[in-house]
Amino acid sequence: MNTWLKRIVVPFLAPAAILYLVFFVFPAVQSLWVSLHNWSGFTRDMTFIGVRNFTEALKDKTFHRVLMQSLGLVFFGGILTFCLSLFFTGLLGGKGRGKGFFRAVIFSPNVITMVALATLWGFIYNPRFGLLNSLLRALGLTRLAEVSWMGPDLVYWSILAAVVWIYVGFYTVLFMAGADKIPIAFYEAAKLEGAGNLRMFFTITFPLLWDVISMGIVYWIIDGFMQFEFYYAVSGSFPPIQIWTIPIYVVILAFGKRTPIYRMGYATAIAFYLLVIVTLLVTLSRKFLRRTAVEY
Amino acid sequence: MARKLIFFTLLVSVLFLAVELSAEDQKGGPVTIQYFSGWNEGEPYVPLFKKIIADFEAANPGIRVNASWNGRENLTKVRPMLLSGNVPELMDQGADELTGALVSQDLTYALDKDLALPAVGSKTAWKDTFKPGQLDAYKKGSENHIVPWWIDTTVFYYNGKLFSQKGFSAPKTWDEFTTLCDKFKANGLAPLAQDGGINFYNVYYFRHLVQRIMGNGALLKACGDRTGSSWDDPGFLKAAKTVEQLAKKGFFIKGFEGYTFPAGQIDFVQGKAAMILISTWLPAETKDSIPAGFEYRSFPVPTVAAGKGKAADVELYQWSFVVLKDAPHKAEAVQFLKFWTQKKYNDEMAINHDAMIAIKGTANPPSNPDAAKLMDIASSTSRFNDGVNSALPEYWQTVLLPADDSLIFGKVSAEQFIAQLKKDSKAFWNK
Repeated sequence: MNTWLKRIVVPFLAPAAILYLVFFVFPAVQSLWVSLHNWSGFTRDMTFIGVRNFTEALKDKTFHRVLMQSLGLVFFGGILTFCLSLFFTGLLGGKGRGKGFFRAVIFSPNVITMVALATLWGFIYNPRFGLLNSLLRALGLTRLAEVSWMGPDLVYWSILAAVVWIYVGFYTVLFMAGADKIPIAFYEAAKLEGAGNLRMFFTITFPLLWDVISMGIVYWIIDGFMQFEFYYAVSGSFPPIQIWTIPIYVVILAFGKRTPIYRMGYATAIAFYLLVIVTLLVTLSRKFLRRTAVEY
Repeated sequence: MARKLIFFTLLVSVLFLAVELSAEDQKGGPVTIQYFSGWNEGEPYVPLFKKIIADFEAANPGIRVNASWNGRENLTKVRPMLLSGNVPELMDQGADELTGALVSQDLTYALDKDLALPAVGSKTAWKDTFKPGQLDAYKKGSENHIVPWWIDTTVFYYNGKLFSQKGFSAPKTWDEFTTLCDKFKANGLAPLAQDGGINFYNVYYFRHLVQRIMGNGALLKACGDRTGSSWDDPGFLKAAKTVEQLAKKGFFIKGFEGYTFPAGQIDFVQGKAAMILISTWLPAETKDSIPAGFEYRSFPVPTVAAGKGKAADVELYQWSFVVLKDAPHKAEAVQFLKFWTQKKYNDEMAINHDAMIAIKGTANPPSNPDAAKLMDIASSTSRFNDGVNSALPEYWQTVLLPADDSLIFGKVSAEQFIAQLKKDSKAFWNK
């Protein structure tokens, strides 16, 4: 790059870099400082306690429970979301009548706000007049229609199903964009060799889509651990402990609301653990899922 | 050059003038007090509050009230104000939340001197205009930092018309209560409605049974015991067994554990259940859902045989005001509070919004006549949830409420519940 270009890059990058440093990097560093203190957030008095917030979190049974719940969401939710997305990719790939319409329908939850989706699923799962139990009653499945989908035994899996439904559309569109780049010649050659659709999917589509899938896994790890709005809104702002995610636990600790907990320092320490866990998992997934690039 | 100098001088002068004119507390200018409200602007009571503000400003031309309708995010929104030194004069919210967040951290102004002075338009000391026990519940030591206004307690609601038709009367003892529940169940009506998704509604049963068996303060003491051994007191097991019986006998409406608010209270007003244990804000919340012919009646949590708690022992949820200690215009804020607590506004709130007000002589709310009488004859007052949620909020949220949900949903026995509390208490306090 010639000197003139090098000089001009700096002023063009500077505003974005400054904004990023001021609004993202600096608060993150400051958060680390806060996590080393006992602090309610209402006064300037911060009591330095070193790493005690971090050691307390390691012994906190509620944090352990919430961490397992978040890991379960990422793992089971990820498997379901990716399987369904790949299934729809195989079904809706290529040109064909009505495929554009179905793509739009599957993607539609991504253009609706989380609060509206939470209201919808609250209605679906309502035990008395909800859509799900009404449908089950209409089909004569009266025992199933009496199930309490938002009760303590099932609420975790019910909400997980709703979250999968929300995200399937995004990952389907992502995978389909990748699948559309695969040359048709490969499929034509495979058909000539007598390969069926399923065989073509597993021997052509899936391997050639691997880079997109591994990128999707990274997105999902971040999405999964950051789940907050839907979980919070679907329970009418009083989420039962069975569906607490790490961000929900952080908000309850830091901002209290009906229960005036207000432990900013401790909440920030938990948030730092979340950062470490997500960074570790993303790094590991990039390392182990990477492979030599395929060009075509 | 000369033109540039003139322009620059004019610009600086205009800016200087603008800053000076916009500054508060100019000599002869009005004083503005900041009021951070826990109400959302769209709530039905806010027009009355705006009217109180307008009337106050008209009666006190030297004072302006700048209200921010922050809703339940009020405490979150006041935090940066406190940190930046731009402290509002007044806040309102639940006394338990204000105590836990502000009073406990010495951020509020003690009002005892002001309470000793006469109320607006009266010779009576302002403190003597409050109903018995209302100023005592949230004292900080011997000091009053909280001015309660809209007060609530927890009662069993029922439809008076339904009870009359069936020939039933409000039970006074717990045995009478369970007999009544049996009768409703035999008649094919669920005895108890419940919003199972609201964990602090679920704990009302255990909390109040502990009070009726062991008296005020027992629950708070046990929750704060770092060894967990306080839970060995047989009174707690008795309270837990009583809740367990309600669940085992199927007195709660089917499917309640999966309810999202306000499904439970809607069930009640629509006649799908006979009674509901809930706080006295219920009539105001269900105003638009009440069918024709529904008559709101209530009775206090029944007494338990040989128990220490009395029927007129009243738990208080107080929607209250505090004056912030570091605010610049505390005297004007207190003046505004005294103006607010006048009879005409109290009566309007009571009659139009079914609210119980902490001031003596206020009209009775039409849909809360029984609870209003209970407040007038209270033998003792205690903090909401025995003070556990404001004094030990993290324990409340992460230990007691989840354990109680398991008990009321019938997932654990009373013995398992107590064992869980003991174990989790030790783990919580020793982390």
